[in-house]
Amino acid sequence: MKRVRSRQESVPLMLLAPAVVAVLVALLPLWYLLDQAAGEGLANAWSDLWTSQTAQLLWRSLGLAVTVTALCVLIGTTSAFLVVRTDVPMARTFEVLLALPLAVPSFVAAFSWVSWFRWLAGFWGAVLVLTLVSYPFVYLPVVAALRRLDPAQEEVARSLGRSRTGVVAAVTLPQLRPAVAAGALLVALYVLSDFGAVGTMRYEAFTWVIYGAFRAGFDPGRAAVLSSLLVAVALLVVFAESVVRGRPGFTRLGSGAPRSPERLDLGPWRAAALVVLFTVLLPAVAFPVGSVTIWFLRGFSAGIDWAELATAAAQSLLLAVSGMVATMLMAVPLGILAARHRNRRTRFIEGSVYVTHALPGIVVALSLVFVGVNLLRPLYQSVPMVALAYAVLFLPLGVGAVRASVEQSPVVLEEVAHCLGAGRWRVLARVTLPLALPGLASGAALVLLAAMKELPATLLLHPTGTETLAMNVWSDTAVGRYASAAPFALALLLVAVVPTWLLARTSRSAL
Amino acid sequence: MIPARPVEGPAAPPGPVSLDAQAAGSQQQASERTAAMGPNPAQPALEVHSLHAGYGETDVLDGIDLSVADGEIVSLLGPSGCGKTTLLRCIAGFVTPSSGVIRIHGREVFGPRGSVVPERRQVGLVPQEGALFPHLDVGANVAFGLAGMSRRESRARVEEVLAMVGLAGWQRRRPAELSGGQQQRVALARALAPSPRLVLLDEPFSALDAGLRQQVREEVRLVLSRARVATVMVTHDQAEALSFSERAAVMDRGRILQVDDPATLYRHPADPVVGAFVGDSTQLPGLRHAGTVDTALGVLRVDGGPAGSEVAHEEVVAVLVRPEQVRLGAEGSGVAAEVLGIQYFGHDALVRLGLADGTELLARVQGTCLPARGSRVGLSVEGDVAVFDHPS
Repeated sequence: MKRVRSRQESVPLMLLAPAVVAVLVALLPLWYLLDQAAGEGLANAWSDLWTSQTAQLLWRSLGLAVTVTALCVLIGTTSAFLVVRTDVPMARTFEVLLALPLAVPSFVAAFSWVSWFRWLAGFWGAVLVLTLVSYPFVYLPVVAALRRLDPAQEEVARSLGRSRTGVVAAVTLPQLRPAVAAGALLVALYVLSDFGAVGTMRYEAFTWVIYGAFRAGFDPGRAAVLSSLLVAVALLVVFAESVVRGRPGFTRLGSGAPRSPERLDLGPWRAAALVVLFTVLLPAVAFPVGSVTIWFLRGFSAGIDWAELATAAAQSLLLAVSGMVATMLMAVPLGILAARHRNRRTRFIEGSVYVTHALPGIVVALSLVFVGVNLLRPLYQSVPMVALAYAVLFLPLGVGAVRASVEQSPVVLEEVAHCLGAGRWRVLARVTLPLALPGLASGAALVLLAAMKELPATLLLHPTGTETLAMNVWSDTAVGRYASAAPFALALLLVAVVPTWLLARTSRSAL
Repeated sequence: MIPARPVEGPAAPPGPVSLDAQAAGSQQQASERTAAMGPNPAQPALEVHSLHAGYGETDVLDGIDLSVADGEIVSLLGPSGCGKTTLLRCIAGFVTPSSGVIRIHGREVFGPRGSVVPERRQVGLVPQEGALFPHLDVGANVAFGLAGMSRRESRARVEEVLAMVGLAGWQRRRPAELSGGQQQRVALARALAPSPRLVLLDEPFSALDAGLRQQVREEVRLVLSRARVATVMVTHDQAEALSFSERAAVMDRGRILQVDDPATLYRHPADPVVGAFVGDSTQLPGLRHAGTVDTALGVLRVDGGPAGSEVAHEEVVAVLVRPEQVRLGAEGSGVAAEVLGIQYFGHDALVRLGLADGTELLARVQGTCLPARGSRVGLSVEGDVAVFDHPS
């Protein structure tokens, strides 16, 4: 349908105003961080940047990001192809299981390895853990892309004389490029911003050093300068991805669900495919669960402080729920704006939300420390402050969910409602939001889970006396008390993995 | 049910243009119409004057004038991209035109003074595929536009309009349980429930399969004419426009080429594009005299309809021949032709004929007596033909 100077160009103030406020709130920490870095003095900042130590730091972080991303692309694409396009046994079960590591917090995975193999600490330990928890970022979009492909294209290629494997190389794989690139971006950003795994593995990457500069030396200036550098690197990654991805041109014409694609007959190679899948699943899912369980049982015989566990769980939940409420309040106007009122202005607003996506948790936490100390003294180290940090960190997640669920219902429903005399508020309350409700609920659940697993911002901003599940795992692992870390780690695994498993079973493209 | 009196627009702003004067003017206009048309409603349900809408440089609507009488069913017909959907969306208020005036029952909803939001236009919209609210049951869907009514009134009205579309007692059903035709009828009931002053149908039958389409179309038409509400329907299906509406406006490239009742559109097209778009036809060149035209098919009588103005001298024209005007006879009778191909429809067939000079034309014949492909026949043309000034 052609849309000419449509009414949607006039963006209603009732959406625009809260959306602008939300974006300003989300970007305030970043601005404050840059201000702090500049306050350090240009000469000082320059000397901080141009040290061999900084160069080495950059080298270490980039090396880690590149290695992990390459491994994730390999593992994610291969396993996605095996479960979607081959006749490997139990493909459906594997498909769900392979998504599970996404739910495992990196510091829990790191704990599960380093508690048995202490020599793993360092670069290769960080590579191992980060690869195993972040390959689903590639795996999931590639599975979705493989399902979207029109089998008719491959049939045409076959009828034009290509062999079965030739078709895969010439038609199938090239069309996966956008999905792989998007996934690789997420992996690279995840690695750059990860704090839990590099911290537990004691690998001196950016986040770990920033934390050190802030905590031990209490050098906020240097922390701010390093954070700004890290943000710059992350933004470069975002930019690089948009170049690699190219035009979003791979679409299917016409309507109707495509037939499910033909599965390759592996024949004798079926066993080899099974070995590949188990090689991924054993260390990624079975080992962390088993390791944490064994430590838990060891601690169990020594006696577990159930009251402490319950308190930690309650405090985790309190912070996460507050963060979820803050996130969704900011995400709803932004998501509706992005879905229903697309123009240059709203695209700019939405784009600036995704900038926060590139902000590592430690950077957001640090910026909010500055904001708290200087601007909002009464809020510093309070629940609303942590909620705000979660909202800044997980806003892209919330906006994405709102936008997708609003876009799913056709605009014409809202137009019909307008014709029946309903004003903007009534249409929003009676049509737009009720239709988007299932999507909003699952978006809120995702934010809740993410907040439960968050570590660096919680560590820096938590109210005095609060000890969440994540903080307990962190502090016990740091001093080698693995048995006492285990109950908290197990609780986090249960909280994170079970909903992910349910989600992955119902909607197979869930991320 | 639908108030025929004009409803004043927003309160008259103090300014050079007095609303009263305008209202008086339109009343005068209306009384003239009444005098001309007999005891018909006093005011057109919809008036569109020199409406323009555009996107940057391109004009999607290029000066549209259209008037729909109260209770009348008018369709907008044209190829995709001709602007018909944009015109509908302008009337509903979802597209803001660049200039022009739209009045609904005399009330200006778009004009130099601004634009009335869709929710205040009192227009019923039935989109493609019905677009029922999936989270509400049938009763709540139909009651959606009755927000101002008391519960009891609203329930009674829902019952009434559901009965009108033949779905009495279906209030508790979910939209997903209904067939395509039923969904479309509920969508119509929902649009009619608040007693709109104008109903807009946007290709309402295109999602239905062919067998069902005709039946639902007849039902909808019956309901609309019983409700006596002015209706504008957008369609690209010329058969649908001819059979559904009292008048049809044929559009092309943002302009209305002709507005007439279906029979006039078909028999006396005002424009070669209209002739080609409405029904099957062959166009061939001819040399026009006073009441006749010389063609490869011989001398034909010129139609005296809208296009048949008098000419003083000979001129080259385009001649439009309908396939059913062409009669086939034995070889040797009339103009000699060869059967090039046959498109068979069962009850009848379209025969493609080639003349000696290379001209091709279509003839419609009964399905029972088909000529053989490649056979030679003689043909003649019955009745008047339409001619146009510029051969295309």
